[in-house]
Amino acid sequence: MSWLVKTFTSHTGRKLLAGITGLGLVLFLVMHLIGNLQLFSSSSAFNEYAHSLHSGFLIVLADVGLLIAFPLHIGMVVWLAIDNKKARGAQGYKVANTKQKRNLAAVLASKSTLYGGLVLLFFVAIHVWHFRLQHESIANGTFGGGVGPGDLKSAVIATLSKPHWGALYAIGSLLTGWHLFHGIQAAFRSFGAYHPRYTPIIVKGGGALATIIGLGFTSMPIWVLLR
Amino acid sequence: MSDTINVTLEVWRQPGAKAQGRFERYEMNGVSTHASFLEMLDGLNEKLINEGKEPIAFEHDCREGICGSCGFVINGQAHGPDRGTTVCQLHMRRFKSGTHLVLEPWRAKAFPVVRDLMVDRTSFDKIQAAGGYNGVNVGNAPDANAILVGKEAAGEAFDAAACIGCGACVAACKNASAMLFTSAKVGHFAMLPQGQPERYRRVARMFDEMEAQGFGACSWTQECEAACPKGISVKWISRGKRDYLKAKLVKDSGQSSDDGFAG
Amino acid sequence: MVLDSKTPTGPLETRWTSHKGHIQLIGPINKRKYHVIVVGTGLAGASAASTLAELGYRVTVVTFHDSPRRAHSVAAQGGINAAKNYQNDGDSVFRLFYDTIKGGDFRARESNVYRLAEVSANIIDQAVAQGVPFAREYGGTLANRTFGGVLVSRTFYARGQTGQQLLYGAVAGLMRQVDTGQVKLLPFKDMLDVITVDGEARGIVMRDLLDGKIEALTGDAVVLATGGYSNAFFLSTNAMKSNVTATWRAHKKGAFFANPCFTQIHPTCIPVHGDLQSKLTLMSESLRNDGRVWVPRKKDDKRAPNDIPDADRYYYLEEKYPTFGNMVPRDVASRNAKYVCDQGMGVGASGYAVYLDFRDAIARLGRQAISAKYGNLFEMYEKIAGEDPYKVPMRIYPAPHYTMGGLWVDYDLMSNMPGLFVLGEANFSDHGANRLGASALMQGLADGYFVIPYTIGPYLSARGPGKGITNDHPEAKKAVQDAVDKTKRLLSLNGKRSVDSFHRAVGMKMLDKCGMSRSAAGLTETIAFIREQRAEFWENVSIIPKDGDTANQELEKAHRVADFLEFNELMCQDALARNESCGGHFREEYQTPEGEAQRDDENYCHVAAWEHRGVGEAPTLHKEPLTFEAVKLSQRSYK
Repeated sequence: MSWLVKTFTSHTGRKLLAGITGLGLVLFLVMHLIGNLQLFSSSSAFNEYAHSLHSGFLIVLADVGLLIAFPLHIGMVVWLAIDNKKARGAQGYKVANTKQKRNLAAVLASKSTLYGGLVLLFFVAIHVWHFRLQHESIANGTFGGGVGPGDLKSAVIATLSKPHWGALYAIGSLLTGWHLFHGIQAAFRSFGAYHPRYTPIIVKGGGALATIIGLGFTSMPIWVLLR
Repeated sequence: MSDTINVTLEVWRQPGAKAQGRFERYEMNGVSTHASFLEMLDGLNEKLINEGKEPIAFEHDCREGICGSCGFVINGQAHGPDRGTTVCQLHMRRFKSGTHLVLEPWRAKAFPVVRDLMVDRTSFDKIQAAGGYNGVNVGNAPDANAILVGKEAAGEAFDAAACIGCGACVAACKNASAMLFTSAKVGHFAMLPQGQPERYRRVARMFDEMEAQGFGACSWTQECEAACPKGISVKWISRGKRDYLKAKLVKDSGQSSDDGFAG
Repeated sequence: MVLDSKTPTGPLETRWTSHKGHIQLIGPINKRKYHVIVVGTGLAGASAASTLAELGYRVTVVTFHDSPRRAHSVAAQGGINAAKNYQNDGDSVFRLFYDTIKGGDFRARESNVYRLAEVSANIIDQAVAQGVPFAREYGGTLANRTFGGVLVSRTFYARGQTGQQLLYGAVAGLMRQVDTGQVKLLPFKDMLDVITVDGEARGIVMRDLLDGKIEALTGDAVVLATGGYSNAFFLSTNAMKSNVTATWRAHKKGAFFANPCFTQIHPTCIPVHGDLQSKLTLMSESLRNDGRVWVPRKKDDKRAPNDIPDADRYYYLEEKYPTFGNMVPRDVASRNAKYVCDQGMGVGASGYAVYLDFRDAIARLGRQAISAKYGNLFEMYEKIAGEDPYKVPMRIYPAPHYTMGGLWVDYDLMSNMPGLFVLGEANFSDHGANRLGASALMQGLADGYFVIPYTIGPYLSARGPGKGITNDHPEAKKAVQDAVDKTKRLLSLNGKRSVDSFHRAVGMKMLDKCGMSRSAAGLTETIAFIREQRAEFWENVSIIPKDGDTANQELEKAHRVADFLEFNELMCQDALARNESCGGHFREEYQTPEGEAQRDDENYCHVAAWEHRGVGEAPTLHKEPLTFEAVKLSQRSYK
């Protein structure tokens, strides 16, 4: 089995793991977004969705999946980053510049994926504390702030309507989109996917999906703040 | 024809591999715009020697953009501002008078500085020696036309084989990764029928060697392609990775890079 | 001393086969007991080293570059000849042989040239097997194009970077042997001397270019594949580091230097454009397939080229040589360019340039077709000249490019110094007084892949294994000490002039007086000038930094320029002694009424091999007569 360990500890192998877990996380985000968009419909729809989610098998799968994917994704990327830093050596460049002709956003996204990701980690921690770890208190009505038992929608609105939390969620959501803007296509590259005709579709499609996810999540705190 | 410009240079000076380096400023006045960048440096060196000062060491040889000897970073851009151009083919007509230019050597752990703007790139050859060839002895070759290669495949193989090993890809990469160089060498052989027998063993060994030499990993920022004087596409990196993963996870031949393979 | 070329006898067609068939073989067990040193990693060096290693010899390869891939073979653009007759246009080994020997103005050995033509086809096979991406037709077969001085299409090419691709093929072969451990590759080593014991080559002295250490490398035979000496002219198409040091220092130790005055001035180069100019850039001869060479008919016609109507254009090559037109051999094309410019018809700021015009080809074939064939060359031209050759004709002028002369070798490629083999451009052997386009790559690889692997055998087997010396041998120690002393002496000079200034002064004089045309008066004057500069060099050169124990590019150059300052004198002396014109050697005193080269077969149908007698001393001339059986000596005609 040493070949397997060797493969997945190599740069390309680590990148592959980061890519697979990354795409898994994207898949999770898509589901998460679709569910969350129920927020815009009646209170009961959102709360019923949340209830059925939490009483089913899906939440276990998601929890376990995330508990595996997140650390793997972050671990691999940070490990690579340490190697990458070493590879540059002690002396860096005095002047930073580029020769790329791609649009600036794409170039910046590609170079800031790691740092954006680390900031995201902080956001995710808060988010998990807000809505995952406090799920029990919402369910049994001890959340406070006039949120009734099981009324997740009110809990969400109560949280997001506080300007600092609302702003944090808006920024965190945008950052997620930014992270994926480069991340989705890079994941495909990590698998070695290349085709002269289909690669441009992946690049464009990945960018579009990242934008939808980013703006989709952002729309919620904005909606709460504006309403 | 007698156009001249003045430029200010800020050059990394480092008297030896272990020595401390620093930047030094030089004013070059009346430089012909028809001169190449290296000819401008020749002029500066001539001036320095005449003043009894130490000339700037920089690598160069063919001065027509094909040997891959030359290369340093000008204002943060490997080989200077022009795309598809080695620094020896960069001409002073590209710059406005009064320009301030910062010259730095390639920065990478696997390319230690030898002196001033000169670095040691022998690590590239260590990668090539780890299988970057077709294992055919002289005297065994069938008639050249016995192996048909389509025009497109031959053209694509050429695109990859055009890599001159200058190291600009490593210099431009934020991770100092040699992915473009290695993938181009891998891709050239992988495109051709002659390269198939060793295809997976080759990529497995070369990629592993690249890592062992201390180069970083690919973050897909695509700076390498932009910096490459031969315009080598990042598509070779994707193809290289695919072959590598196939070699490691699927094929028998690529399983281990230290299986005592020799030749 | 009688020079024995050891050329086999019998019918020309079977000489090589029969020679190979009678060579003393060395068994596989014994091959590994021999250590062969190869200096240089260009086409000849890389191919020789890898092939010898494949056979089982232990090989050490030395290059002054950081990587073998940087050798200047990499810059060859146009292509490589081979008598494959894939185009079904009547090509054959004999035709390639004949074209080459005629192109060389009948100053090469018949047997060598025939062998070269014979193995040319194998080179293509080998290169394809290695993965060299030659140009292909849609059907998958190899494409060909035509080159100067021939009437068939036998040139294989990889866009405009054939040399690069062939070199990478050969270097890949070399790296394979590095991988197996059969070859030891030593980069950053500059060869400074040959170590001889009892007149036989036993090793080399080399200086590490990173730490300055000077040490001996000893073995059973030394193979020099160190290229040509065009940088004797300062401005040339050679790389900046190309030099004569290895061959010159071997010459000073006893190896004869043959035909040093046979140099090639390539007709299609980008003209000189400024005082800082450091080198000249070649535009592949293949461009003459589609480009038409012309100058304005009227002297000092300052109109823009596109404003000059056809009637006022002088397509001088097409008019003077209707059969070959723009595809005459290089020496003829160069001389004619110089002639029209001397007449005042030249173009550009200096008046020393002619047009190479693609207008008609673009109209006929379309811009796309031209771009597919020459795209990278057009781009290169635009970068250097700052003009778009798709719209404005290129301006070109001849520049020193290749040197046919080199160390004298016999049929086995061994110099008169036993144990010293010389390959590729570094030897004198196959091109005579002028080299045809796409033949240099052919010769370098022929020598390395298909000749030396056989011909090194007889020398080694006659000596027997295990007779090499160690680094402690007095001769090795002495040679190292000499190199150390010379280096110290160079560093101790506290002069005022840069190394380059000497190179430039003498080189430019050489270009003027010993370049495209030469005269007794000019050569005599140049010899005096060289001596003067050489004397000054050893008093007034300034080498900074003063450290000998780090990378020191000025010191490297100083070693090389010091050798050019000695070697150039020999080149002039050879030119002076050859009282005829032939190929690239054009003595103004000897020309036909039409201004073509006037050979003197009666007195000069020989190889001039010079023996060193000390710096500044008159060298001794040894003549190897050239005899022709298969071809008849004739006045070359490309009309």
